[in-house]
Amino acid sequence: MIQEVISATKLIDFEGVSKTYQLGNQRIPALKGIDLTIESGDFIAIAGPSGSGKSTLLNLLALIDTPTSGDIRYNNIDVSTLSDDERTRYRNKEIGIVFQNYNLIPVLDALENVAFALQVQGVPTKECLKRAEKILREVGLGTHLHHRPANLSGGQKQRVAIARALVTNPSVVIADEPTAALDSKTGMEILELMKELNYTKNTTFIFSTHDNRIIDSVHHVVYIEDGFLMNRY
Amino acid sequence: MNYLQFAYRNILRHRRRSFVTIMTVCLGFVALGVLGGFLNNIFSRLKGQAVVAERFGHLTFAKKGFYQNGKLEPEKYLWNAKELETLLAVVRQNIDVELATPRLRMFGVTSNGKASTIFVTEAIVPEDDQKLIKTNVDGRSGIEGMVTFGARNRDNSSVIVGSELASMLKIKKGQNVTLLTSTKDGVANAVDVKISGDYNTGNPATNDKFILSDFSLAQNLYDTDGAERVIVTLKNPENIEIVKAQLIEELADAGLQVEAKTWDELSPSYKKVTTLFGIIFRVLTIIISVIVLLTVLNTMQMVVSERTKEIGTMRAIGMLRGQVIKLFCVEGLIMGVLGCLLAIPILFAIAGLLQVMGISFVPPVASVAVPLVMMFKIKNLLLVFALFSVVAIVSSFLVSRKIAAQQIVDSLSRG
Repeated sequence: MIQEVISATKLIDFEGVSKTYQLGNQRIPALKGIDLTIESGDFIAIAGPSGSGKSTLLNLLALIDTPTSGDIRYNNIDVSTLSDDERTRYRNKEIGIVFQNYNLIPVLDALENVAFALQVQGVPTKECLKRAEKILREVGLGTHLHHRPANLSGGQKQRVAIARALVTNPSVVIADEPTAALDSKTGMEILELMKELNYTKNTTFIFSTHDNRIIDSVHHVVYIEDGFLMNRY
Repeated sequence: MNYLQFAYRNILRHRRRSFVTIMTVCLGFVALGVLGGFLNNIFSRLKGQAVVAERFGHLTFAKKGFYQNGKLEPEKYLWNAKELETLLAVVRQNIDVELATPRLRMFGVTSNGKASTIFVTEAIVPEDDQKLIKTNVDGRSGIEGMVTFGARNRDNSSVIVGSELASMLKIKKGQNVTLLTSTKDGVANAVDVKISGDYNTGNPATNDKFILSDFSLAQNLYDTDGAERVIVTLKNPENIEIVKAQLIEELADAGLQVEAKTWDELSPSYKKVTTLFGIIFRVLTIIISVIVLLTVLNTMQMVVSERTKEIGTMRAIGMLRGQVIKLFCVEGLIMGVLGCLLAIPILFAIAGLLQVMGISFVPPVASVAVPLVMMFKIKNLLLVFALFSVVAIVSSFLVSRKIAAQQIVDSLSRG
């Protein structure tokens, strides 16, 4: 196992994190004793072949899954001790998630999709819409505020998804192959957008990818294979 | 975007399915509304029959023990003139009392000279009976075709007989019959009386033996200057139990130990019919509610199944389990409420149609045809409304509780 210390200021700290899935009588180890520390403001790609455990690692980083063993700390808070509701609230405030297939809510327009992340916090609707509009303008969708997902292109949908992830001012945005469903040009635009937001807002971005062009443009790459954290550069 | 708007848009996503669910709730509501409307009408007509046609009024006061031993020792349970005067004075001074009138009831044999049959006579004060037959029962004043003595120029030796009794003895208005009964002391007594009319009591059990006679005639026949009961009608019958208790207390203070019975306690047929139909209605309510529950459950199951990934997304973004459940409950509630709202005009249209068609029927344990109409009680409709809304919420809760508890990664991996 490799102790992966990317920076001195800890945002996320994984200690001996393992994840095993039970498939019938079979136990399938997806992650094996991962030790990983991530600093705030970083821009990290998680790379590795299919089935290596990238998505599992991202799920654990996003707090939408729980490890079989090991400790996960966010800002020195042991998140494994939090209840489901506490973890959800924490995730809502501190973590933005971008999905490969955008996962926008089809009955809500772009503005409402972004505002949704704030509304579940109980922020007043007016305030939610104001903040959502601001962030949508920042990602270049000021003219598409009231378009529903069905009327947006793939790139535009991903921009909405990024806006939704950022609207709560999270410490970290976790994206699972955010450019995989996009053509290369649009994919690069989305990457540029994330880099810009990382730079301007100092938001940490962690995303998985297979795309070498993306890997070349990040601060750090975490390479994972067969559930082991193999390397970083 | 609040829960209502969000849920409403989700309902519109699956228009056909939502429409079927809403229509199921609607038809359930209409079915219960129609049945309840018919039953309310039947119950109300039977109530009118008991209160007015059978002359029970709302409350009946008798000496304590009268209902247990009054037939064995009638003289012991008669109010004398002084007691009757006190009783009427106390009762009439209660502001909730509309009418208080003395009564006597006798049993015996009546004959047309050729044939005889048993009779039951209820002795009434004609002036009071004029008022009693106009008693308001569920918004209807009196009963159509109800007959009583004229208030003035009356002949106290005339009687009004049940139509079936008149038919049995083949007697008509203006003819005489003999009433053979006994005095309070058990001595046989008879009187010839003139038929001044016949009427249908509404109850086949009494229509073939019932005779309305003048109170003073009955007093003579029974050899008393008192009465055995006092019938009371109330301005607001909904307060019947309160007034009953008040009057018992006030009469006790005046030195009269009484027992009081409400009209429904004295009308066993009303009790039986309402009990039977009440059971049928409850069973149907349960069956229809279960159908509504299963339909909404099925719809929500399909909705949840199709939106599992979306639920996972919402949970990942920060929606709490409780908020997911709330969203689906609101969706179920909207469908329940829309179904009920849609049912109300349909219900009133059916009621209006029946009114126009003018169909009538003879209710169980009645001998008079009543119009086949529906009588709606806002309280009952609201109860069904609330029931179906709760059923819709419960169905949604049962389904969404499970999906909300699912691991987010499992939800996200679907579809």
